[in-house]
Amino acid sequence: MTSSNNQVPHLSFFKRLGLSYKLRPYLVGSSEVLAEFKALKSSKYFFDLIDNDELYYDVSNADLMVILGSVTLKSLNVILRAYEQLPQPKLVIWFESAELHLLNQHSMVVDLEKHMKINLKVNTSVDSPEDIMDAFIKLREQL
Amino acid sequence: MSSNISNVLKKYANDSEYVKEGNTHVISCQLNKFDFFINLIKKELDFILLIDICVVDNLKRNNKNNSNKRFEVIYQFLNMELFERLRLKLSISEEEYIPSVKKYWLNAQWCEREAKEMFGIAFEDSSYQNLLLVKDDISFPLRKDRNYQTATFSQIDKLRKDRSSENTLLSKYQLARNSHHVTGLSEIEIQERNEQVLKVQTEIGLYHRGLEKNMESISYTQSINLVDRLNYYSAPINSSGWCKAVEDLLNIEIPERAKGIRMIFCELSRISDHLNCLGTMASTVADTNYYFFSIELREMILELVEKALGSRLGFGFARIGGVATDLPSGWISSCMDLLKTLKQAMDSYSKILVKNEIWMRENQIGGISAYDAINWGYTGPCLRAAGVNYDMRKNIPYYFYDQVDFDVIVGTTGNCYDRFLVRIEEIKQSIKIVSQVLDNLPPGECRVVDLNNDLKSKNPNAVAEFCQLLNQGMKPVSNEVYSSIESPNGELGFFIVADGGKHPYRVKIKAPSFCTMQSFPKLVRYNNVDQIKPILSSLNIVMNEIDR
Repeated sequence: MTSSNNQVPHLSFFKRLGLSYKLRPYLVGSSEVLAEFKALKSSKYFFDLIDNDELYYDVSNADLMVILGSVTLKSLNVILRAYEQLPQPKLVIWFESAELHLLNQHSMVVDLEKHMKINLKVNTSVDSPEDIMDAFIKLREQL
Repeated sequence: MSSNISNVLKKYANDSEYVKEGNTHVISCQLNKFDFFINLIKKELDFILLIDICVVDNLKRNNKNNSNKRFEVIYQFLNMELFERLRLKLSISEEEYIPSVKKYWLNAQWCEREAKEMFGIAFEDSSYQNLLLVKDDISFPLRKDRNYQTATFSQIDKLRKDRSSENTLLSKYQLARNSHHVTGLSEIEIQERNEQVLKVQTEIGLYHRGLEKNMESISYTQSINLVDRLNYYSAPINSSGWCKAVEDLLNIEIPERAKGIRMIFCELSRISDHLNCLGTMASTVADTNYYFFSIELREMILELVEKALGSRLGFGFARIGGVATDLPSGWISSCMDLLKTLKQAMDSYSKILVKNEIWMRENQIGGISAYDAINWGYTGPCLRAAGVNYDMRKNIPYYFYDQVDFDVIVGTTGNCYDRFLVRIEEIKQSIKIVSQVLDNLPPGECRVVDLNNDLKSKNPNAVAEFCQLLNQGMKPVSNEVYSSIESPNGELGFFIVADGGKHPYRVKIKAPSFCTMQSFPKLVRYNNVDQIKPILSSLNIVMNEIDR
C-alpha cells in the first residue's frame, strides 16, 4: 500500500477521535518512552485514548505514527517508508531524545521536520507515562 | 594454575611486554608475534571466551605507549575455569593488516567489522561490510581527527536518492519495525522454503547514536545519563556499571551502605527486566494476557523505585562514589511487602506456565550447546541456560555478592524453555538477595564525600573544592580499566582509557546483546518461520545497547 492510494482522508477519522474511539499508534524507534508506553497498558494508567487490545499495530492499520527517540541516518529510511504507508491524515508525534543535543552527531538526523510533517514534537525527556498522555491530549487539542 | 598462566606468559613475553593487574594479565605485542600469542591464549591457556575487541586511536593521546604506531587493538579474554582475564594489546599502523581471529572465536566477526568501520582497521578478511553505519560510509567516525557537528546534508540526500531508486519489496520491511520480540528497531530478512527458514540476515545499527564518541567529549559524571539509556528497562544496572568502572579507574572504595543500596536497585531492575522478557515470551507463544500480568508486576516495582529515586525507570541513580540519594524512611518495609507479593506472583506464574505441556512443547526450539554458546561469546541467562555455570555475581564477585546466599541457575539444553526457566528462577533468587541485603543494610554514608553536610557547615574549603570539582570535573590519572557488571542479559562491560584529562580518552561499551544478536541467524536456521518470534523474544535483545 502506498501513499497515493490514501490521498483522501477518512471522513470518519474525526468522528473516531471522539471519546469512544481508541487510537492505534504505530510505534517506531527505541527509547525509554517505549517502556513507558507499555506502562500505559497497566491497570494503574489504562489510558483509554489508546487501544489496549494489542501491543503493536501495523502501520497500515494505525491512526498515527509515534517516533520514539533519536532518528539516525540508517533508521530515517525505515521511518520515511513507514510514513508513506501511514493512512491519511498522517499524524506524527516525535518524542525527541536528550541525545539529540550532544556534540558529535555523526549518525543522527536532527531536522526530521524537513523530511516529514511532524504534528507534535515533545522535546523534553519523558520519564513518566503522564508525559505521553499529555502529548496525546495536546495532539487532540490541535486537531 | 594461576601462576602457571603468569609463568607461561613470562616465558614468551619480555618484562616490558607483560604486566599483571589484579586478576588481569596484560600483554603488549607487535604484529609479528600476534599469531603466536593468539594460539597460545586459545589452545594452551584456555581463554575460551572472547569478551570484546576495542580499538584506541593514539593520535592525540598524552601518554603514548612505547610503540609509535597509531592504533592499538585490544582483545579482552576470559578464562572460564579460573575466572581470570587477559588483555592482548596489539600496536599497528594504518597500513598494516591484522589476521582475523574469527576461526577461534565466532563472535570476533562483528567486533572486527565494527573496528573496521569505526577506525578503518584492515583485517585480512576483506569481505567485511559496515555493521553500524550506513552502507559505504568510510568516514571512520571514531578516529580522533574526525569531529562532526551533525550528519551532513549530502549524506541524507544520497540516502534519499538510494531509497527512491530501490525496488525493494515492502515485505522486507515488515520486520523492520518495532515488534515486541525485540526492544528497538532492527531489520531482519528471511529466506524460506515451505515455511522452513533457510537464511536470515540481520541489519543492526538503526539506532547508532555514537554514544562512545560523545562520551569522549563530556565529563565522567555527565556520561551517567547516556549509559542509563543503553538498556532502559534496567537503568540502575547501567549507571552502576559505569560508576563502578570510573571508581576502579580512580581507585575509590565506595561506602558499605552505597554498595548495599546499589545491590537492591540492581536486583529490582533485574526482576523488572526479566518480567518484561517473560511477558514478551508468553505473549508470542500463548496469549497477551500474560504480558499484561507481567506489566502489572513491573509497575509495582517501578512505583517503589519512584518513591526512592524520584524517577520511575531509575535514571541517574548511581553517582561516582556512591548513590544519588539514601533510602527514604518507611521504604524498606514497603519493599519487603512488595517482595512477598512478587514471590506469590512468581509461584502462580510458575503454576500456569512451567509445567504446562503446550508451553513446554512450543518452546523446545532455538537450542544451543554450551560449546557454541561460549564460542559465540554468550554471557548471562542465555549462557547459563546452555549449561555453563558462569555468573559474575558468584564467580567474580563485586559489592556484597560473595556474602549473600543465592544459587546460580543453570539449564541443560539451552533452548527457549530453558531460557524461560532460568529467568523465572533468577527472579526468585533476586528476591532472595534483596531481602537479605535489606535485613543487613549497613548504616552510614551513601557517598564517599557527603558534600551537602560540608556545605551546610559552611566549611570554606569544602565549598571551594566543590566549585572546583563542578568547574573542572574529575581528572583521573592516565590509566586504562575494564570493569563489568552482571546485567539482566549478561556481562555489561566498560573499557575506559584515561589520559589525565577531564574527559575519558576512549570508552568502549561491551553490550551483552551484541553476541546473542550475532548468533541469531544460526539459532533459527531450519526452524519454522513461526518459531522465529519465540526464539527472538527468549534472547531478550535490546537494540539500544547493541547499536550504542
